[in-house]
Amino acid sequence: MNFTQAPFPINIDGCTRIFFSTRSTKDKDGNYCSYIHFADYDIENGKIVSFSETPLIKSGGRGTFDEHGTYPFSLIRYDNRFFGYYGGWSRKISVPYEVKIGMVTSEDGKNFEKCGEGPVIGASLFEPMTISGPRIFEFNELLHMFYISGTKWKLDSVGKPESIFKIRHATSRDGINWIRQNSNILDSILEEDECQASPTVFYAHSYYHMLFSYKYGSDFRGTDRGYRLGYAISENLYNWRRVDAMLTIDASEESWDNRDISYPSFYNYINRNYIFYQGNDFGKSGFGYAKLTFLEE
Amino acid sequence: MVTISGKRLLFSTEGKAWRGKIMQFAQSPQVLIMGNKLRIYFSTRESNDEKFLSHVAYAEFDEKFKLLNFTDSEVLSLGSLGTYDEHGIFPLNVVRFKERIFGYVGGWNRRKSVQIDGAIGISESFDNGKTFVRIADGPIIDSSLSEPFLIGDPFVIHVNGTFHMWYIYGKEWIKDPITESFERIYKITHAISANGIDWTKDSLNSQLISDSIGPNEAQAMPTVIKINDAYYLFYCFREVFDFRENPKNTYRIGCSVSSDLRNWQSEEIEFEQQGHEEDWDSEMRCYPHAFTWKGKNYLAYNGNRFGEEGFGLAEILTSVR
Repeated sequence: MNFTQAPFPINIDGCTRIFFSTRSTKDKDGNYCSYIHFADYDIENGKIVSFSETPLIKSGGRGTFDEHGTYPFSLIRYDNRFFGYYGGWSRKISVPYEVKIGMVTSEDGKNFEKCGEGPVIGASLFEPMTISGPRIFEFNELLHMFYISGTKWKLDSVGKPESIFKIRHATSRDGINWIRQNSNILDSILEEDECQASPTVFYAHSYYHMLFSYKYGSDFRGTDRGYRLGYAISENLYNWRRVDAMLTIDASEESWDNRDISYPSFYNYINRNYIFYQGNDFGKSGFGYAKLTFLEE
Repeated sequence: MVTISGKRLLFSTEGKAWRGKIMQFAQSPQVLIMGNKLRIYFSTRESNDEKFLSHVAYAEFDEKFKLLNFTDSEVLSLGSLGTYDEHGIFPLNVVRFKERIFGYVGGWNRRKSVQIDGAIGISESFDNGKTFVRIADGPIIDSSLSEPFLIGDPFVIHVNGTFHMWYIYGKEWIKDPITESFERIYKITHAISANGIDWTKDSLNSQLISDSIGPNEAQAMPTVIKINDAYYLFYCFREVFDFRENPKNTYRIGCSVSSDLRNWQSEEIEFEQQGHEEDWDSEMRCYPHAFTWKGKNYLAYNGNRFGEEGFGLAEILTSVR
């Protein structure tokens, strides 16, 4: 298995099912495709019970938005069914790729059916490029999607185009038609071209809380410009205040996550709160989780 | 029955230069009426390595259709790196609304596994149509669940308080068994809008115009005109394979008629022959654009080789229904 990226846990009838993405081996052009799998995890005993055998979502046909991979994925139970959302990847000429958000439904949380050949959320007037990293939540009987939107392609120090992206928000009643907030919901603190990703949102102590990843816009691989964890709070899910300093991470001594913690995903299991995340080198070694506690608790 | 009468090559690329090079192609004519002048926007090609880029220019004509001038610069710049319209604009559909002039952008970008993808954007002119600027960098109509790729060919009119757009969406990329290249099938569909910017796609019947040569028919460049009490939709259609060189498979112009802008019936169309000098559209007719000027109804369109020689004009005559 190459890479286990973007862990997304969900409690399905008492079982912790963790969806994640793996990469294929590289093709002759050095490109790979990502596919979504899941592992069923016994969180009481700390044991993986089973793995999915085949990719959950097939790559799309020739010329479609998800022809070259599906990554990442999130899932919600809504209206007695499961709605899943994923980033569908296709390769371009002037820039390496484009991503749009696809949708699948499921009756059992195991077998998924695409809602169409095309994307459920593509580019729009104020979100011109890559639309990816969907995270789906339900609050107050409304579906909320937090996702990333590419604002521009920036050439790095060797002239390679890197996508600059920010966290965005949209709402829906049916999961298909989305109303976009159409603004960057978080301030950038590293630099104007700070990239923000993998928002996970939960409600506790009268506030909505968001954990996310952020990094410098270019030259971030193998440097100290890579992903770190951010923290923001909101009273209404639309207006967010960054409170990064209020997040404390106990340093790890382990070799798989001692440098990077990225792609956080909140998980509640019988009154215990966890954060699942991927470790060093964009999840090359694997993913894990940590307990989440509030200081006032 | 619709008769296309008095057709002739209106604007020839022969002997013309654009931005210091020989003008190649004048495609997809799109009209803006400027009082006693007729302005026709078109897309012309500029080579970029082995590929080409389509840029929008325009030519102006007097009441007798005499060419007055044509622009030597692009009307709207191509999109920035990674956007939907970075490799070409074709067509720019120009629409007056009250005091404003909108330019609907058929934008194209190159891809790895297939040649291109497309989406529709919007621009606006603040200098009476000489140049346009994007309202924002992204598209107003992109691919969606049932329209998976190749969104393009916008044509917009405003009727009784509602904007209507006809456009195309890609249905399938299929492999030509002989050349082994992937070729595209696209169909015509429709969307409506209250403000011209936020659009709702038809969800009931995606494909608006039924196929006349089979399911692999590619339909393009819809244009709608009201004549008396009926709406006429002209478009071009062709076979999916071997359409570039083979006159039997290439684009021809079709017509449908409707009284409610929803239900369209196929209508017979005849092009009156003009004699031996009319070689410009002897093998192909494509990219129609219909308009009314000074009480007459016209169809501008491209002829052979997708408009390499320029675009032509003819009068639309309808028999009493």
